[in-house]
Amino acid sequence: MNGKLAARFSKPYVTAHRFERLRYCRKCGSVTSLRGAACSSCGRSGTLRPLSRMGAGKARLRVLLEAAILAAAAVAAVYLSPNPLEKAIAAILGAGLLTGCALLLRRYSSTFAPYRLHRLLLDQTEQIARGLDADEKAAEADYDADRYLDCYEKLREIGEFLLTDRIRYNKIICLDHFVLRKDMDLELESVVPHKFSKLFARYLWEVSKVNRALIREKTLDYALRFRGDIERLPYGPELMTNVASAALRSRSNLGACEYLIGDYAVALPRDRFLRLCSLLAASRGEHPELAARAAAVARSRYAGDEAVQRLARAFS
Amino acid sequence: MAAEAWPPYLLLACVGLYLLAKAMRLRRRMRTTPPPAVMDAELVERLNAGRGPE
Repeated sequence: MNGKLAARFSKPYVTAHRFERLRYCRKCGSVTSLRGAACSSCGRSGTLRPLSRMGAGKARLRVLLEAAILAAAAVAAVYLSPNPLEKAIAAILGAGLLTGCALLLRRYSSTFAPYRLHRLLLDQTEQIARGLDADEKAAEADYDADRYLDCYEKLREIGEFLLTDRIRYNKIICLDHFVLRKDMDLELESVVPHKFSKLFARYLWEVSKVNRALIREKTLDYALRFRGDIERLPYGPELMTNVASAALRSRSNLGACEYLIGDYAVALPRDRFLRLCSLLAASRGEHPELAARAAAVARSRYAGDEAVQRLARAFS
Repeated sequence: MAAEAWPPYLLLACVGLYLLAKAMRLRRRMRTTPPPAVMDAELVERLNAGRGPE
Protein backbone atom coordinates (compact mmCIF):
# COMPACT_ATOMS: atom_id res chain seq x y z
CA MET A 1 0.00 0.00 0.00
CA ASN A 2 2.82 2.44 -0.90
CA GLY A 3 4.17 2.28 2.65
CA LYS A 4 1.06 3.92 4.09
CA LEU A 5 0.04 3.23 7.66
CA ALA A 6 -3.19 1.72 8.93
CA ALA A 7 -4.51 4.14 11.53
CA ARG A 8 -7.48 4.43 13.82
CA PHE A 9 -8.29 8.00 14.83
CA SER A 10 -9.61 8.64 18.29
CA LYS A 11 -13.24 9.79 18.45
CA PRO A 12 -13.49 13.53 17.80
CA TYR A 13 -14.14 15.51 20.97
CA VAL A 14 -17.54 17.09 20.41
CA THR A 15 -18.47 20.29 22.25
CA ALA A 16 -21.30 22.75 21.76
CA HIS A 17 -18.80 25.62 21.54
CA ARG A 18 -15.14 25.71 20.59
CA PHE A 19 -13.96 27.54 23.73
CA GLU A 20 -15.10 24.53 25.76
CA ARG A 21 -12.14 22.64 24.23
CA LEU A 22 -9.63 24.97 25.86
CA ARG A 23 -7.93 24.07 29.14
CA TYR A 24 -5.46 25.96 31.25
CA CYS A 25 -2.57 24.70 33.33
CA ARG A 26 -2.92 25.52 37.03
CA LYS A 27 0.87 25.55 37.41
CA CYS A 28 2.19 27.56 34.45
CA GLY A 29 -1.05 29.30 33.40
CA SER A 30 -0.66 28.38 29.72
CA VAL A 31 -3.68 27.41 27.64
CA THR A 32 -3.95 24.32 25.45
CA SER A 33 -6.46 22.91 23.01
CA LEU A 34 -5.01 19.40 23.17
CA ARG A 35 -6.75 16.44 24.81
CA GLY A 36 -3.74 14.87 26.53
CA ALA A 37 -3.27 14.82 30.30
CA ALA A 38 0.03 16.75 30.18
CA CYS A 39 0.43 20.49 29.64
CA SER A 40 2.09 21.10 26.25
CA SER A 41 4.07 24.06 27.69
CA CYS A 42 5.42 22.83 31.05
CA GLY A 43 4.88 19.08 30.54
CA ARG A 44 3.24 18.56 33.98
CA SER A 45 0.42 16.01 34.19
CA GLY A 46 -2.94 16.42 35.91
CA THR A 47 -2.76 20.21 36.09
CA LEU A 48 -5.14 21.04 33.24
CA ARG A 49 -8.57 22.46 34.03
CA PRO A 50 -11.30 23.79 31.71
CA LEU A 51 -10.59 27.42 30.80
CA SER A 52 -14.13 28.42 31.81
CA ARG A 53 -13.23 27.52 35.40
CA MET A 54 -10.23 29.89 35.47
CA GLY A 55 -10.81 32.38 38.29
CA ALA A 56 -14.14 30.77 39.29
CA GLY A 57 -12.93 30.21 42.87
CA LYS A 58 -11.88 33.85 43.25
CA ALA A 59 -15.20 35.07 41.86
CA ARG A 60 -17.14 32.87 44.32
CA LEU A 61 -14.98 34.12 47.20
CA ARG A 62 -15.67 37.71 46.14
CA VAL A 63 -19.45 37.18 46.20
CA LEU A 64 -19.21 35.59 49.67
CA LEU A 65 -16.99 38.41 50.96
CA GLU A 66 -19.38 41.02 49.60
CA ALA A 67 -22.36 39.30 51.28
CA ALA A 68 -20.40 39.10 54.56
CA ILE A 69 -19.55 42.86 54.46
CA LEU A 70 -23.19 43.77 53.80
CA ALA A 71 -24.34 41.50 56.65
CA ALA A 72 -21.72 43.08 58.94
CA ALA A 73 -22.96 46.58 57.99
CA ALA A 74 -26.56 45.57 58.83
CA VAL A 75 -25.46 44.11 62.19
CA ALA A 76 -23.39 47.26 62.90
CA ALA A 77 -26.45 49.42 62.16
CA VAL A 78 -28.48 47.46 64.75
CA TYR A 79 -25.62 47.68 67.28
CA LEU A 80 -25.21 51.44 66.80
CA SER A 81 -28.92 52.18 67.30
CA PRO A 82 -29.45 54.00 70.64
CA ASN A 83 -32.71 52.43 71.86
CA PRO A 84 -34.73 49.22 71.39
CA LEU A 85 -37.20 50.85 68.97
CA GLU A 86 -34.40 52.15 66.75
CA LYS A 87 -32.67 48.74 67.00
CA ALA A 88 -35.87 47.01 65.83
CA ILE A 89 -36.28 49.45 62.92
CA ALA A 90 -32.59 49.03 61.90
CA ALA A 91 -32.94 45.23 62.17
CA ILE A 92 -36.03 45.21 59.94
CA LEU A 93 -34.37 47.53 57.37
CA GLY A 94 -31.12 45.52 57.48
CA ALA A 95 -32.98 42.25 57.01
CA GLY A 96 -34.89 43.78 54.09
CA LEU A 97 -31.67 44.94 52.43
CA LEU A 98 -30.00 41.55 52.91
CA THR A 99 -33.07 39.82 51.46
CA GLY A 100 -32.91 42.25 48.52
CA CYS A 101 -29.24 41.38 48.06
CA ALA A 102 -30.02 37.64 48.12
CA LEU A 103 -32.84 38.10 45.57
CA LEU A 104 -30.56 40.20 43.37
CA LEU A 105 -27.84 37.54 43.39
CA ARG A 106 -30.41 34.84 42.70
CA ARG A 107 -31.97 36.83 39.84
CA TYR A 108 -28.63 37.46 38.11
CA SER A 109 -26.67 34.36 39.17
CA SER A 110 -27.15 32.80 35.71
CA THR A 111 -25.29 35.73 34.11
CA PHE A 112 -22.20 35.51 36.36
CA ALA A 113 -20.52 32.61 34.52
CA PRO A 114 -21.17 33.89 30.94
CA TYR A 115 -19.97 37.36 31.90
CA ARG A 116 -16.80 36.02 33.53
CA LEU A 117 -16.21 33.74 30.52
CA HIS A 118 -16.63 36.67 28.13
CA ARG A 119 -14.10 38.76 30.09
CA LEU A 120 -11.78 35.78 30.30
CA LEU A 121 -11.85 35.15 26.54
CA LEU A 122 -11.22 38.83 25.87
CA ASP A 123 -8.37 39.11 28.40
CA GLN A 124 -6.75 35.76 27.62
CA THR A 125 -6.72 35.98 23.81
CA GLU A 126 -2.94 36.49 23.74
CA GLN A 127 -2.43 33.63 26.18
CA ILE A 128 -4.69 31.35 24.12
CA ALA A 129 -2.82 32.28 20.91
CA ARG A 130 0.51 31.48 22.61
CA GLY A 131 -0.94 28.18 23.84
CA LEU A 132 -2.06 27.24 20.32
CA ASP A 133 1.43 28.03 19.02
CA ALA A 134 2.89 25.73 21.71
CA ASP A 135 0.39 23.04 20.66
CA GLU A 136 1.51 23.44 17.05
CA LYS A 137 5.14 23.03 18.12
CA ALA A 138 4.16 19.83 19.98
CA ALA A 139 2.51 18.59 16.76
CA GLU A 140 5.68 19.43 14.80
CA ALA A 141 7.75 17.43 17.30
CA ASP A 142 5.42 14.46 16.77
CA TYR A 143 5.82 14.77 12.99
CA ASP A 144 9.61 14.92 13.27
CA ALA A 145 9.49 11.77 15.43
CA ASP A 146 7.32 10.02 12.76
CA ARG A 147 4.30 9.95 15.10
CA TYR A 148 1.94 10.99 12.31
CA LEU A 149 -1.26 9.91 14.04
CA ASP A 150 -0.47 11.97 17.17
CA CYS A 151 0.55 14.89 14.98
CA TYR A 152 -2.68 14.75 12.97
CA GLU A 153 -4.86 14.50 16.06
CA LYS A 154 -3.11 17.52 17.58
CA LEU A 155 -3.51 19.51 14.35
CA ARG A 156 -7.19 18.51 14.24
CA GLU A 157 -7.67 20.15 17.66
CA ILE A 158 -5.61 23.25 16.78
CA GLY A 159 -7.49 23.53 13.47
CA GLU A 160 -10.69 24.15 15.41
CA PHE A 161 -9.27 27.56 16.30
CA LEU A 162 -6.67 28.43 13.67
CA LEU A 163 -8.31 28.58 10.26
CA THR A 164 -5.14 28.96 8.22
CA ASP A 165 -4.02 27.08 5.13
CA ARG A 166 -0.78 26.12 6.91
CA ILE A 167 -2.70 24.00 9.43
CA ARG A 168 -4.85 22.57 6.62
CA TYR A 169 -1.82 21.59 4.52
CA ASN A 170 -0.07 20.08 7.53
CA LYS A 171 -3.16 18.01 8.30
CA ILE A 172 -3.27 16.77 4.70
CA ILE A 173 0.46 15.94 4.81
CA CYS A 174 -0.20 13.79 7.90
CA LEU A 175 -3.29 12.18 6.36
CA ASP A 176 -1.19 11.29 3.32
CA HIS A 177 0.69 8.81 5.55
CA PHE A 178 -2.47 6.78 6.27
CA VAL A 179 -4.53 4.28 4.35
CA LEU A 180 -7.90 6.04 4.15
CA ARG A 181 -10.98 3.97 4.96
CA LYS A 182 -14.67 4.73 4.92
CA ASP A 183 -15.06 4.01 8.65
CA MET A 184 -12.50 6.71 9.57
CA ASP A 185 -13.63 10.09 10.88
CA LEU A 186 -12.12 11.85 7.88
CA GLU A 187 -12.43 15.57 7.43
CA LEU A 188 -12.74 17.30 4.10
CA GLU A 189 -14.69 20.56 4.30
CA SER A 190 -12.44 21.82 7.11
CA VAL A 191 -9.23 21.29 5.07
CA VAL A 192 -10.36 23.01 1.87
CA PRO A 193 -7.64 25.63 1.20
CA HIS A 194 -8.07 29.08 -0.31
CA LYS A 195 -5.76 28.46 -3.27
CA PHE A 196 -5.33 25.60 -5.69
CA SER A 197 -3.17 22.89 -4.16
CA LYS A 198 -2.07 19.61 -5.73
CA LEU A 199 -1.72 18.27 -2.21
CA PHE A 200 -5.38 18.92 -1.46
CA ALA A 201 -6.51 17.74 -4.92
CA ARG A 202 -4.78 14.42 -4.32
CA TYR A 203 -6.37 14.11 -0.86
CA LEU A 204 -9.76 14.98 -2.35
CA TRP A 205 -9.28 12.23 -4.93
CA GLU A 206 -8.41 9.71 -2.20
CA VAL A 207 -11.42 10.76 -0.12
CA SER A 208 -13.77 10.74 -3.11
CA LYS A 209 -12.88 7.09 -3.64
CA VAL A 210 -13.65 6.00 -0.07
CA ASN A 211 -16.39 8.36 1.11
CA ARG A 212 -18.10 10.54 -1.47
CA ALA A 213 -20.60 11.79 1.10
CA LEU A 214 -17.87 14.02 2.58
CA ILE A 215 -17.89 16.15 -0.59
CA ARG A 216 -20.23 18.98 0.32
CA GLU A 217 -20.79 22.63 -0.65
CA LYS A 218 -17.34 24.01 0.19
CA THR A 219 -15.56 21.22 -1.68
CA LEU A 220 -17.94 21.50 -4.64
CA ASP A 221 -17.25 25.22 -4.78
CA TYR A 222 -13.48 24.51 -4.72
CA ALA A 223 -13.78 21.92 -7.52
CA LEU A 224 -15.78 24.34 -9.67
CA ARG A 225 -13.37 27.22 -8.99
CA PHE A 226 -10.23 25.24 -9.83
CA ARG A 227 -11.77 22.85 -12.36
CA GLY A 228 -9.19 23.68 -15.06
CA ASP A 229 -6.24 23.03 -12.71
CA ILE A 230 -7.76 19.80 -11.43
CA GLU A 231 -8.52 18.47 -14.91
CA ARG A 232 -4.88 18.90 -15.89
CA LEU A 233 -3.83 16.42 -13.17
CA PRO A 234 -3.39 12.75 -14.23
CA TYR A 235 -6.28 11.69 -11.98
CA GLY A 236 -8.25 14.90 -12.68
CA PRO A 237 -11.05 13.45 -14.86
CA GLU A 238 -11.65 10.60 -12.40
CA LEU A 239 -11.71 13.07 -9.51
CA MET A 240 -14.15 15.39 -11.31
CA THR A 241 -16.41 12.40 -12.09
CA ASN A 242 -16.47 11.55 -8.39
CA VAL A 243 -17.20 15.21 -7.56
CA ALA A 244 -20.03 15.25 -10.12
CA SER A 245 -21.36 12.04 -8.53
CA ALA A 246 -21.24 13.69 -5.09
CA ALA A 247 -23.03 16.78 -6.44
CA LEU A 248 -26.01 14.57 -7.26
CA ARG A 249 -26.66 14.12 -3.56
CA SER A 250 -28.94 17.16 -3.51
CA ARG A 251 -31.34 18.59 -6.06
CA SER A 252 -30.20 22.11 -5.18
CA ASN A 253 -26.71 21.30 -6.58
CA LEU A 254 -28.10 20.74 -10.07
CA GLY A 255 -28.19 24.47 -10.77
CA ALA A 256 -24.73 25.29 -9.42
CA CYS A 257 -23.00 22.23 -10.91
CA GLU A 258 -25.05 22.00 -14.13
CA TYR A 259 -22.07 22.20 -16.52
CA LEU A 260 -19.85 19.94 -14.42
CA ILE A 261 -22.55 17.25 -14.18
CA GLY A 262 -23.36 17.63 -17.87
CA ASP A 263 -19.70 17.26 -18.88
CA TYR A 264 -19.16 14.18 -16.73
CA ALA A 265 -22.61 12.56 -17.18
CA VAL A 266 -21.16 10.11 -19.67
CA ALA A 267 -18.54 8.92 -17.14
CA LEU A 268 -20.94 8.57 -14.19
CA PRO A 269 -21.50 5.05 -12.81
CA ARG A 270 -24.94 3.65 -13.70
CA ASP A 271 -26.44 4.19 -10.20
CA ARG A 272 -25.36 7.86 -10.24
CA PHE A 273 -26.67 8.33 -13.76
CA LEU A 274 -29.99 6.87 -12.61
CA ARG A 275 -29.91 9.33 -9.73
CA LEU A 276 -29.30 12.18 -12.19
CA CYS A 277 -32.23 11.04 -14.31
CA SER A 278 -34.54 10.84 -11.30
CA LEU A 279 -33.47 14.33 -10.14
CA LEU A 280 -34.12 15.72 -13.62
CA ALA A 281 -37.49 13.97 -13.73
CA ALA A 282 -38.38 15.48 -10.35
CA SER A 283 -37.37 18.98 -11.48
CA ARG A 284 -38.81 18.76 -14.96
CA GLY A 285 -38.13 21.80 -17.15
CA GLU A 286 -35.83 23.54 -14.62
CA HIS A 287 -32.55 22.50 -16.30
CA PRO A 288 -33.33 22.02 -20.02
CA GLU A 289 -29.70 22.03 -21.15
CA LEU A 290 -28.63 19.41 -18.61
CA ALA A 291 -31.74 17.36 -19.39
CA ALA A 292 -30.83 17.40 -23.11
CA ARG A 293 -27.27 16.27 -22.39
CA ALA A 294 -28.47 13.54 -20.02
CA ALA A 295 -31.00 12.36 -22.62
CA ALA A 296 -28.18 12.15 -25.21
CA VAL A 297 -26.09 10.04 -22.80
CA ALA A 298 -29.12 7.84 -22.08
CA ARG A 299 -29.59 7.26 -25.82
CA SER A 300 -25.92 6.57 -26.58
CA ARG A 301 -24.72 4.67 -23.50
CA TYR A 302 -27.84 3.11 -21.99
CA ALA A 303 -29.85 2.37 -25.16
CA GLY A 304 -30.86 -1.10 -23.96
CA ASP A 305 -31.39 -0.20 -20.30
CA GLU A 306 -35.12 -0.04 -19.66
CA ALA A 307 -34.85 1.62 -16.21
CA VAL A 308 -32.74 4.47 -17.63
CA GLN A 309 -34.93 4.85 -20.72
CA ARG A 310 -38.10 5.05 -18.57
CA LEU A 311 -36.58 7.86 -16.48
CA ALA A 312 -35.15 9.59 -19.57
CA ARG A 313 -38.64 9.65 -21.10
CA ALA A 314 -39.92 11.27 -17.89
CA PHE A 315 -37.68 14.35 -18.16
CA SER A 316 -37.05 14.70 -21.91
CA MET B 1 -35.16 61.96 64.38
CA ALA B 2 -32.46 62.18 67.09
CA ALA B 3 -28.93 63.04 65.98
CA GLU B 4 -27.55 59.81 67.48
CA ALA B 5 -29.94 57.78 65.25
CA TRP B 6 -28.20 58.97 62.05
CA PRO B 7 -25.14 56.65 61.92
CA PRO B 8 -27.14 53.39 61.69
CA TYR B 9 -29.54 54.81 59.09
CA LEU B 10 -26.60 56.27 57.15
CA LEU B 11 -24.97 52.85 57.17
CA LEU B 12 -28.16 51.20 55.93
CA ALA B 13 -28.62 53.93 53.29
CA CYS B 14 -25.07 53.22 52.04
CA VAL B 15 -25.89 49.50 51.83
CA GLY B 16 -29.10 50.34 49.94
CA LEU B 17 -27.26 52.60 47.48
CA TYR B 18 -24.59 49.96 46.97
CA LEU B 19 -27.23 47.35 46.19
CA LEU B 20 -28.95 49.73 43.78
CA ALA B 21 -25.68 50.36 41.94
CA LYS B 22 -24.98 46.63 41.92
CA ALA B 23 -28.42 45.88 40.48
CA MET B 24 -27.83 48.41 37.70
CA ARG B 25 -24.37 46.97 36.99
CA LEU B 26 -25.72 43.39 36.84
CA ARG B 27 -28.55 44.51 34.54
CA ARG B 28 -26.05 46.18 32.21
CA ARG B 29 -23.82 43.08 32.26
CA MET B 30 -26.78 40.90 31.36
CA ARG B 31 -27.53 43.09 28.35
CA THR B 32 -23.94 43.36 27.13
CA THR B 33 -22.81 39.73 27.57
CA PRO B 34 -23.08 38.06 24.14
CA PRO B 35 -24.47 34.54 23.72
CA PRO B 36 -21.87 31.70 23.74
CA ALA B 37 -22.05 31.26 19.95
CA VAL B 38 -21.05 34.89 19.45
CA MET B 39 -18.24 34.61 22.05
CA ASP B 40 -17.02 31.56 20.15
CA ALA B 41 -17.03 33.31 16.77
CA GLU B 42 -15.35 36.41 18.22
CA LEU B 43 -12.62 34.33 19.85
CA VAL B 44 -11.81 32.53 16.58
CA GLU B 45 -11.83 35.87 14.74
CA ARG B 46 -9.40 37.40 17.26
CA LEU B 47 -7.12 34.33 17.17
CA ASN B 48 -6.94 34.45 13.37
CA ALA B 49 -6.59 38.22 13.09
CA GLY B 50 -3.23 39.04 11.55
CA ARG B 51 -2.45 35.44 10.64
CA GLY B 52 -3.94 35.65 7.12
CA PRO B 53 -5.87 32.81 5.49
CA GLU B 54 -2.78 31.42 3.73
